[in-house]
Amino acid sequence: MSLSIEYIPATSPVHKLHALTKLAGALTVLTLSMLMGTPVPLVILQLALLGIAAVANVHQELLGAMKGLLKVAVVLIVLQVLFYSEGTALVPLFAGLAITDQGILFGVTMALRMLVIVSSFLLFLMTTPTRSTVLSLVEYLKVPYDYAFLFITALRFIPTFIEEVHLIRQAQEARAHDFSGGAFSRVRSLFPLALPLVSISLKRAERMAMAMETRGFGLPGRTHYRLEAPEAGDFLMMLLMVLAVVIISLFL
Amino acid sequence: MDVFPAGHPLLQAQQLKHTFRTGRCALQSVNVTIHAGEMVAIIGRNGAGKTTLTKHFNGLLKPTAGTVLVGGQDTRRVSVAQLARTVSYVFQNPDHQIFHGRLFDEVAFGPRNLGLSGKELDQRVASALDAVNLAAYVDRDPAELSRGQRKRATIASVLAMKTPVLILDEPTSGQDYQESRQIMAILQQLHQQGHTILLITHDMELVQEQAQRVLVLGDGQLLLDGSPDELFRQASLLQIAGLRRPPIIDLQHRLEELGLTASVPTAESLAAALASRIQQGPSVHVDPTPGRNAACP
Repeated sequence: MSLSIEYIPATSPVHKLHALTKLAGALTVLTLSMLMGTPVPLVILQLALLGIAAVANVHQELLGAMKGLLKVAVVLIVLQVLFYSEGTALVPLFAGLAITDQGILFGVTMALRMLVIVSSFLLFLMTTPTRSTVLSLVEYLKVPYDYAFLFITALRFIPTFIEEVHLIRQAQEARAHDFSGGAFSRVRSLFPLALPLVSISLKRAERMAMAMETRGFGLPGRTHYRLEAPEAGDFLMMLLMVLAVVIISLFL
Repeated sequence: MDVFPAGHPLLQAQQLKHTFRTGRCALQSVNVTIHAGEMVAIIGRNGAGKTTLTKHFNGLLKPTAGTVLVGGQDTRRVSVAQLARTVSYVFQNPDHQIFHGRLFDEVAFGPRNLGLSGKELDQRVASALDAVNLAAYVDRDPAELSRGQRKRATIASVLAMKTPVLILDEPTSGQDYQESRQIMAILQQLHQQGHTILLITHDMELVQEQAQRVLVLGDGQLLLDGSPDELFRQASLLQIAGLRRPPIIDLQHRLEELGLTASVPTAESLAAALASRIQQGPSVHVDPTPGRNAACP
């Protein structure tokens, strides 16, 4: 599963939009997907997101991520279908459970909703430099810088973690450790992977904190080298988003 | 231990290519055969493909084209755990492998995976810790050790597996002079016992003193496969590989230009050659390259 959540540099109308606009866009999609209770509008919404991704030239990455999300979607559908009891029973199952028509509908809707929400946020992250995100969070949404930094660092370190997991896995395999095995032994066999990962990560966090403090992190009166203000186009987009939410909530 | 007779081709890379998923070509058509009992140094700039090459020799990486044979077996058909019986590998960063709360268990991890237990295990762990001078720390938590000590602990954990081939990724990095000497002495000893040793290093002195054979990698290609002597005679190659000859070799070559030859590049033999020349007196006039003084009238 390739879940790309890194910024992909490019010059496109989507990339040019202000971070705040794109964040508002992702939140709009979130709201819309909550308003929509049937699969068809959600599919249309997803297609629209793919269209925006194509304009931003990140559709390849988004499609790759969607492929990975499909597995999660299938699990969601199966769970809903199994445990949703309302509606007409189509296939009776054990212990009073049954596959119902509404269960299937509900499961598919949930899965699509998940897909739409995750896609919209991925789209936001892929087309917005993290620096701009932090800046707009701090400057316009008045999020304390420490929290904005925390958010960004968490994202930044995911690829590093993955790299680390690979290396540790290799180091243990080189000592004839077998990571496969039955369910119970599998959990046990993960210790040689999990323990070094935790210890390395803690050490890194400590080192990073020290390095940041030596460079004056946390001093009051923080200024920004670069300021980005929303432009006319951004306000227009945000207006359209509000309109979309209002209209769709009236019609659905 | 020694199931392979000396000189037996043990590690073979044939037309080995490796392309990472990112599309970066890390190795392009590398052909190399390492024989049993050899001590080989692998050098080159960071990112030249040294680690990628050695990781093919214990199956951690599989070739994207070409083949790698370990003891005659195609690495694509054998699991890493299986290959670990033949080839062991010390990683650059000790923290990528250490996870036990007691040094004994950390060192015993590999041998236990190989199915050892009881007296034999105790004895192997003890002698491995002895070899790296950490016997006194056997019951300590590895996290309490210094980084240099942890590195040696990882070497011990591999020594205890007693595999015919040992691969070490920068074994002397992060060690002080004495510690790196000690590590080299251990490796030399293992080599004499018949182990095949591959080491990745940036330490030219180490290459000069220890290795019989040097592989120079640059941009994923094998630029040289020869003796340290051959390497030190190729200034352009050294430049490409981002390396400098050790000062003693520099001195030897400078003296050679002046007609002074020493058979082996050691401080002692060079000093002896110089002394005998001085004793001979200025009978043979050698025109030294004009130094700084030559410019002054």
